[in-house]
Amino acid sequence: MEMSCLIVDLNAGDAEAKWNASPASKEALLDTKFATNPEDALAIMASVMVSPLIIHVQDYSQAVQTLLSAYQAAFGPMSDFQVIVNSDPSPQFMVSVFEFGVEQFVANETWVAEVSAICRDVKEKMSDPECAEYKTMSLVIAVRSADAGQITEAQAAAGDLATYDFRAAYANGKASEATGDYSAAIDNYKSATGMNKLFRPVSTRLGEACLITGRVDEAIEIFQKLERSNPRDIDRKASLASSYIEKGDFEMAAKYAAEAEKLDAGSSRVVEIKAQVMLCQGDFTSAFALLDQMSNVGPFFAAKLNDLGIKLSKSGKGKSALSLYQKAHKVVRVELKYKITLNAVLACRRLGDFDMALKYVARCAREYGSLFPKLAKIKETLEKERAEQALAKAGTTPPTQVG
Amino acid sequence: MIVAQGLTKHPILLVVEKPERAVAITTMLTQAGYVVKVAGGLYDCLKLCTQEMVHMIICEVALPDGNCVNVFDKIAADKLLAKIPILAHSIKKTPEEIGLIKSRKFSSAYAGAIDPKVFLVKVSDCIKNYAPISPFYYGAAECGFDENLTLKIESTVMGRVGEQILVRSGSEVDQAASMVCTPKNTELAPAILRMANNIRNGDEVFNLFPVGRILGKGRIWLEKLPIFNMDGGAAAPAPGVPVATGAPRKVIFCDPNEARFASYKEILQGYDIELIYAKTLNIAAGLLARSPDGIGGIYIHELMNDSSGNEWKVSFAKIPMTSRPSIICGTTVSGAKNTDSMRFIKRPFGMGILVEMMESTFTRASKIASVASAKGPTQVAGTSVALQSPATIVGLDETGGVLQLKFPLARGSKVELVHPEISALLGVKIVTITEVASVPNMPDVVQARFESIAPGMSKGKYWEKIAGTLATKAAATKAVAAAAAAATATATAAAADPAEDPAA
Repeated sequence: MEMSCLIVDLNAGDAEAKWNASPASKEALLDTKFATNPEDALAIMASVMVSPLIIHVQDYSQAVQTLLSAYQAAFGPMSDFQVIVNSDPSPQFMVSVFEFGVEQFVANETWVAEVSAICRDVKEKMSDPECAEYKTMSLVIAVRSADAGQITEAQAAAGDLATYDFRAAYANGKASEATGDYSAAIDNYKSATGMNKLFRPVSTRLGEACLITGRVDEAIEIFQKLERSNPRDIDRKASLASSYIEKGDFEMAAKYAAEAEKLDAGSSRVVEIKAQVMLCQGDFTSAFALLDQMSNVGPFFAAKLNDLGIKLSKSGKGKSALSLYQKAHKVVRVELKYKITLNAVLACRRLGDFDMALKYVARCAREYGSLFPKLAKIKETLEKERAEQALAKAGTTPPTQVG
Repeated sequence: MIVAQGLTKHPILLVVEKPERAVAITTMLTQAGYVVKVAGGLYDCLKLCTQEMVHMIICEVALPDGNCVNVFDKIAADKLLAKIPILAHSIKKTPEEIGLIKSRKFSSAYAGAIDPKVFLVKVSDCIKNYAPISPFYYGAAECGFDENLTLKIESTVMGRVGEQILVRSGSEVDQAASMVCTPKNTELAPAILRMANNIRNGDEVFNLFPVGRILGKGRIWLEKLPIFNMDGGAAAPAPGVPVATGAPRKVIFCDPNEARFASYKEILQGYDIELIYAKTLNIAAGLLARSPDGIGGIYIHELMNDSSGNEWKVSFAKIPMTSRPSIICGTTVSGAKNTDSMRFIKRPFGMGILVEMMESTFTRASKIASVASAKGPTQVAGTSVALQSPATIVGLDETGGVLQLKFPLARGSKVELVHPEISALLGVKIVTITEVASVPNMPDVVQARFESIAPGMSKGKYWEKIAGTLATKAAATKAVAAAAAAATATATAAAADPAEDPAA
C-alpha cells in the first residue's frame, strides 16, 4: 500500500523548510506532502493515501478536530500513525486529541527525526499484507469507498483479526454501520471497548450507535462515563443532550445543552440540539431554518432528518421533503450524504419526477462509490416507470415483448 | 553499518616513566569519559594490555625498563594486540626522543608539556581513527555471519493485576519496546506486549504490560488469565470497582504550575485516580511523610537540579521500603534509566500513556513478591513464555559485541541471543546489556553493547578463544569477495573484448 506522509503546519511556521533541510528526513522512505491549512490537508487526504498524519499546532482547535475526524474517517483508528508536534501540550489539549485516540506527541526540537522513524514504521507495516495495521486500514478504506465487494474482500482478508485486535473490531463496526446494520456495529464496538478500555473513539461510536438504535439508557451511561474523564468535550455534551431529549428528560437535556453552549455558543452541535428540541416540539419550520447553521452533522441527527423527510414525503409534501434533503445534504458528514440522496430519489419517485430521481440515483452511486444492489433495483424500477410514464403521456401502451 | 557513538567506554593504558606524572592525565582522561589504567614501564604495559585489552596506549618515550620503541615492537609482534593504536609522548622534546618516535609508525604523537584541550583532541582523534568501537572489533558482515538473530528473555506470566499483565522476567523491559510473548505451550498463540513498566523487589524484577496495548492473537488467552489478587485471596471485586493492586489510587502531583495540576486532577478523577497537589518537592516530602501508606504514587513533572532534590532524597529514604510509593518523573531526555523507585516518562506524552503509567504505580513490587510467595506457584497463572524480539548483530569485540534493534533495551538486562553461530562461538547464551544508544537522526535504530565475557574471566583469554575464529572467517569472507570480484572483472573484460570472429 503506497502511503504519503502529510505534514500540516497550523503554526504557519517553517516545518516544510526544516523537514527539507534535515538529513533525518532523507531516511523517511515515504513521499511527503505539506499543508498549512485544513482545506489543503483535506484535499491531499482525498487524493492520496495518508499515513502518518503530522500536525504542528499550539493548542486544540476546530482545525485539529477537522483533520483528526477526516483522518479517522478515511484511514481508521491508527493512533500510532498520528502525531502532534508540540513540546508542552496542555492537559486539555492532550485529552481533546485523546478523544480521537491520538496520544503521540513529539517535541519541536526532535520532530524531524521522530517523524522520520514513524514514516519508516508505516512503510514497513503498509508493505506487509499480513500485518494487522495493513488489514485494518484496508478494511477502513473499503468502508470509505462504500464498495460492498471491496468491504467483503477486506473482511475476508482480515479473517478473525477483529476478535483480538480492537482496531480491526472498530473497523468492522464501521463496516456494519455503513451497511446500516447497527446491531452488528454495536457488537463490534463492544468487543473493541472490551479489548482497550482507553480507546475513546470506539466508546463514542458505541454510544452513538446505541442512540441511533434507541438504546438510550445505554447510550447515556456510555457518554456519562466518557464525560467524567473529559468534561469539556462539546460533542459529548451535545450527544448527552440529544440522548436526554430522546429519553424525554428535557431538564437534563437543557443542562447539557447549556454546558455545550457555554463551551462554544456558535458550535454546530449546539445548533443541532436546538433543532432537535424544535423537531420534538413539532416546530419544523424553526428547525428547518437552523439547518443552514450546521456542519458535519453526525449519524444520529442525520437519521432524524431522514425520518422527517420520509414523513413529509409520505404525507404528500414531497417538495418540502426534497428541500429538506437538499439542506441536509449540505450539512451532514461526507459518509452520510448518500443516505440523504437515496431518500431524495424515493421522494422524487413519489412525486413522479423520474428524470430527477434518476439524477439522484447517479449522485447516490457516486457518493456510495458504486451502484449497490438496492440502488440498482431502484434504478431499474425508475427506468421502467419513466418509460411507462412516457408512453402514457404519448397515449400508447408498451408493445408486448415477444420471445 | 553506522555504529552509534557513546556505546563504548574506551579503556586507555597510560605508560609512564614516573607514576606521579600519570595523576593529572588520568584525571583529565577519566573526566573525558575514558577508563584509564596506568603501567609503570614496558613489562607492566605488556601485562596490562593482555589483561585489559585496552583500546589505546599512551606511552612516554622514556620508560624505566625500555622506551616507546620497545613497546611498539612488542605490541606489533603480538598477534592479539597488534591493532592497539599507540600515541607516543615526548616530554622533553629532545632530538633523541623525537628520533625514536620517528623511527616507528606510531598512530599518533605528542611532544612537550600537556595542553589539556589539544591533548584530548589528539586522543579522541586517535580513538576515532583506529578504534571507534574497539581495535579488536570485527563487523558481523565482515565475518560472513547471518546478521539476523532473536533476543529472548525467559519469563513467567503470573496473572492480571487490574488492567495489566504481570510478568516475572528477571529483566527490565524498556517502555518503548515491543516484545513478542511466545508461550512454551504451543497451543497458546503469541502476542505483542508493549509499554512495559518494571517494578523491582530486591533482585526480583516484574514487568507490567497494559492489557489494552496487547496486540496479536495471544491476547485471547492473556485476557482470560486469573486475577493476581493483591489482597492475598480476598473475593474478586464487583464490576466497575477498581481491582486491588496493593496501593491506594492517590497520587501526589508535584509541579510548580498549579493550573496544570487542576486540569489533570479534573481529567484523572474520571479514571478513579485522585491527585493531591504539591507545589514543591519539600511539600511532597511532607505529605508523604505524614501518610506514606495512603499514597499510591508520586508524579514529578520535572526534577529540578537544585537542593530540593537532595532534601527529597533524604525524606524519601526515611520511609520504610514497603511503604515507598513509586515515583513517575517527567523528562525530556530519551532513554532515561529507571531506578528501583523512579520511573521516567518522556515528555511530551499522551494522555493514555500517563494513565497507563499511573495505573502501574499502584502495583507494589513488595506486595507482589509477598503474595506470590505466600500463595505458592500453583495459585498464580505461571505460564512459561519467552519474550522475544528480532535484532541484528553489528559486530563482536573483546568483551562482547554490538546489537541493533528498533527500541532501547534497559541497561543491565540479561537477554539470550538466539543465533546459529554466534552463541556457540561466544560460548554463552545469556549476555548482559551494558550500554544503549541511538544512531544519529534515527531514534528507531537503537544499538546496544553487550557483554558476553564471564565474570572474573580475563579479557585476553576470552578474546584469544574467539579472535582466531573471527579472523579465519573474516579472511575467508574476504577471499570469497575477492574471487567474486575477480570473476566479475573477467566477465566484464570478456564482454568488452569479444573473441575474434574466426570467419572474418
